[in-house]
Amino acid sequence: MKHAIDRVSASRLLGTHCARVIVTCLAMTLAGVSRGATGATASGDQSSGGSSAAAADATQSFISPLGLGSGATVSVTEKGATATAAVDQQFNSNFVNFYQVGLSGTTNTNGQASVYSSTDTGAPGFKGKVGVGYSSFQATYTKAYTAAGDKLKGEVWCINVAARLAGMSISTTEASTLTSCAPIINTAKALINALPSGTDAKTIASARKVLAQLESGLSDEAATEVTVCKTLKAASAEAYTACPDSGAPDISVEDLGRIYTALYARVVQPTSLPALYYKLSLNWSPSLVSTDYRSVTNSVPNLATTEHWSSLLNALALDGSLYYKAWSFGLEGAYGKTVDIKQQNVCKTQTNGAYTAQQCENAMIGRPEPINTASATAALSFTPTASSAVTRLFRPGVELLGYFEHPSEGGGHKAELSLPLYLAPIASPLKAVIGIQPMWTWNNEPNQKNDFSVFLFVGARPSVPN
Amino acid sequence: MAQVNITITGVARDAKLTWSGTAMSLTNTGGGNYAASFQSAPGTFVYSIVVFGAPGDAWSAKVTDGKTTHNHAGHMSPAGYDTTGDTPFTVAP
Repeated sequence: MKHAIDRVSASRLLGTHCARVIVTCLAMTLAGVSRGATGATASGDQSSGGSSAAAADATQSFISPLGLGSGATVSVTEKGATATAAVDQQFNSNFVNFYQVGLSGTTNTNGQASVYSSTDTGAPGFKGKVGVGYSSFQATYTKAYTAAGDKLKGEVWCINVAARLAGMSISTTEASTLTSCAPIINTAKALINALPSGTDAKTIASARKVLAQLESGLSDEAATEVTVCKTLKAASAEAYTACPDSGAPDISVEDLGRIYTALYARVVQPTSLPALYYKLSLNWSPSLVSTDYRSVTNSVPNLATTEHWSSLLNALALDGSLYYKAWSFGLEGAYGKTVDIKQQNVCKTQTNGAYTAQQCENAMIGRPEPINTASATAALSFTPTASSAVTRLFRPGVELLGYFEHPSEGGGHKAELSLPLYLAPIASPLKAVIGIQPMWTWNNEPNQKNDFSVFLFVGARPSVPN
Repeated sequence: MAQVNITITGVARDAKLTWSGTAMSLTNTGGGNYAASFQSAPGTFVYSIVVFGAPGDAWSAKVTDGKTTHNHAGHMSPAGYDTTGDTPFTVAP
């Protein structure tokens, strides 16, 4: 159904803007360029989509409870480059209705494994996350809502056709008070009856016939629309623009509801969907960690012999997330293996007279020993509604991400708190994003220090081909 | 049989597609974009798309069988959802 109401007024009414929150580093998408072609009617900011924050983590962070989402992310920090690719897919089931699979690889600037912890920002090499879950988005009963939406659109279609047949102009104030099509049909009939005698009789007859069809079909405007649109092109080219095959964009139910407020309240409001949704998922998170090391025997390291250690560390993570209006909140609890890798320079020194030469490489002294660890992550994001001229061009975002890890041995723990702030141009087809991320790290490991750092991040996220 | 292609953009949280009374799987192609593609016999079918996102987010959808195209556009409600409503679509022979 097409509802090509006064588009200038609609643009004013519907000109809400969307600001979006993104989690940590960089993530945006190349997709969404077709929106300009398909949705230019409802408002001028249709290209703003910019949904990379999504129900998923914008950076596809493996520790984020907001999920991986689909697409690919490349991020570069002082710790090296990380490439992540993930797919999530919904399917119809009463208990498990989505799965997610993600893979990532990281090397630091020297290609070395030199960091502690199992966090995605820390551990290098291959990481994965495979999970299944339940999404209340998919499980929500929407049949009554979409049927009511159809009813609303049918009424609005009827209003538009009747008004156009009679050459009427409906103000936004008048539109907001209408509760059905019937008064407009009556007004249109009166206007057509009052046309001067010189008016083309065939045109008047066609208009009267269509109005009669509208009047008789008031109980089922959608069915009437199918019938009337077949003949409307010949009767009124202008009125035909409200029909599906005319090519005009179809304004959504909620956008129409902002214009036809009384009609929306009567027809759609009783079937409104809930504002609170949730997702739960159980995930397996393997991480491949490797390093060169020198074995230690009786407290004496064998520095001359290079040995290589590699292990797949497994973890199980339970993710839960809540979505309420502009807010997203997620929690992840995980338990699995982590390893503390501390590398240092191991050098071979050659002496020739007064000269010495050194060949050094990074290696750990002693074989790495994985230990069990429990970790928890919390993420809170907010999507502010844009209202100023600046936020109509750029969408600001902020998220609070907290992480805590407690190994089962050694009594140490590590905590991170990051607050990514970003700015993304609303109309950018590349969905570029730029921002800063202050990060605080507290660590009571004897050889680790507390840390405060600020990352500058910039990037784009291409979408996965369908 | 005709190939029906559905693309949805600007959806921050999730999307739900019902075609002829049956819930269809949508593939999340990243960045808030979803897609579905399937074969359909000729005839008139009713579909609906429900989208979930942040309040005020713009979204759009395109439904086509190559001959007929429906373009939808809207903004999320204050509670964060929107719909095309039940919409008839005639698949050409």
